[in-house]
Amino acid sequence: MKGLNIRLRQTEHERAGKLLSAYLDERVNAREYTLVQKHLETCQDCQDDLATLRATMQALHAMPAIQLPRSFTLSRSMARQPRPMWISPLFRNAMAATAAVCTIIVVGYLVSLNTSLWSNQATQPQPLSVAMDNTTPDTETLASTDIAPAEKAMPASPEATMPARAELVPPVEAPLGAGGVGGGIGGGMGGDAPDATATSEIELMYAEPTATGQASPEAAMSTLTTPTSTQQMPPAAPQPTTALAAANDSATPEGKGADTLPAFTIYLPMLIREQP
Amino acid sequence: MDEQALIKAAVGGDIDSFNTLVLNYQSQVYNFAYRIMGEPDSAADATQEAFISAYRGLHGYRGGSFRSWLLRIVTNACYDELRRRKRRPVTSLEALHVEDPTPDAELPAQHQEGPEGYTARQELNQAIQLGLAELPEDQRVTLILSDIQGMSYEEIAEITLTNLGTIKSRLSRARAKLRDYLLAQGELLPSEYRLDNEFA
Repeated sequence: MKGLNIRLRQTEHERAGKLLSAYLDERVNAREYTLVQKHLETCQDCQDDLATLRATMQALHAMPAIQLPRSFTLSRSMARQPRPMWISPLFRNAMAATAAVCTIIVVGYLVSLNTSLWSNQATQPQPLSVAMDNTTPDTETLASTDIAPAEKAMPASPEATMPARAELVPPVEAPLGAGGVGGGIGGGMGGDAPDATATSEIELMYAEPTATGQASPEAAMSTLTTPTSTQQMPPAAPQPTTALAAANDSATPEGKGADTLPAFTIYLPMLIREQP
Repeated sequence: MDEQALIKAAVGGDIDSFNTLVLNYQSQVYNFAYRIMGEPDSAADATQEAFISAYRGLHGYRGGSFRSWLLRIVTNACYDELRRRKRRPVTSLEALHVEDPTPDAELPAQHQEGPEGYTARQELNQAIQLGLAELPEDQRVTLILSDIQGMSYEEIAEITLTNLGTIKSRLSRARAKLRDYLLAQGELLPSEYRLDNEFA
């Protein structure tokens, strides 16, 4: 019985303690007010708590107002609604500059490709072809030097395609992008190691006819058309080589710059695969 | 021109009318922000940001107490500023200790106190400001609105978008924590700040 009374008293103490703040604000209902009043008569701790809470409130009420550091009235520029980012002059200028730089890079790249194609055309005036297109079943392997099957798989005029290709393909070490173009020209000139697995067969097949060893057009062509297992190439649709070659031939019978972009697009996956 | 007319004109784009409202409320808004932030620069930033947001968002004002609407905006601006400061803390506790806000010269209390009383009050005010900074943000805002700004529970509930029970609970905890903090600092309860024990 005594323990129960102690527990009830403790519960009442806790409830009264939680109500003290609202009690000071006179925001308790009649039942709560009676409970707090009755408890305060007998509880010294709660009387002290009430006094210190009241003193705290008094101190807060007495806090001085702080002088304004300045006026906060709005100017017309401050009141103006902010523009969306894409309308702001800074954003527009940045986008224009980026577009200009990209245009310069692309145009410069295309001009360099055309220039190198035309200069090569002067020495090898044969039309381009896409005989070494990696989409043909015959180009699944490029390392073999077996010439006989290659000749069977050749399109109508394979020899016409070889010189110009050397201009299009960067060396395997060269990074992709505009910077790889110049390196591709030089790298293609020196392709003379068909037996090296680390060396791109693409270099060989696009080697200049003046290169020594097996880097002749015929040998290079053979690497394109001979099936071996040293290099995995994606499977190809049936007879795309002749179709594309015919398209190129009909569009640009002299194999000039118009052939450049599609050809590079076709070789790009090959170049990516050749990157270390 | 009464307040509602000023608001209507401001909604129509009359910035002078809005600036009249700013002049009416800027002291209260800045003081509220100062007590939340604890230092003048952040308080000024939050105050300015609140007035700009209020002007741009006037079309969202749906009547009722303009002061409550404004204080809700400044509360949010202070929360944003506090979050920024948490990410990039720039004010040390020592800086808060040496902070010496300029009290409003028009307040009569300072004129009636002697030098010792004034110094004691200044120390107490600084201790309170530090104690406020120790409170959770929601309790701090509630305590400032109630015991410094003198607002009713209903107004506080409107500003903080909470109910009366929550306000009671936050106030009770906030007062108890601040009381304990001040007692621990030895700053609380100079006898002159005590009221009689009689409950009015």
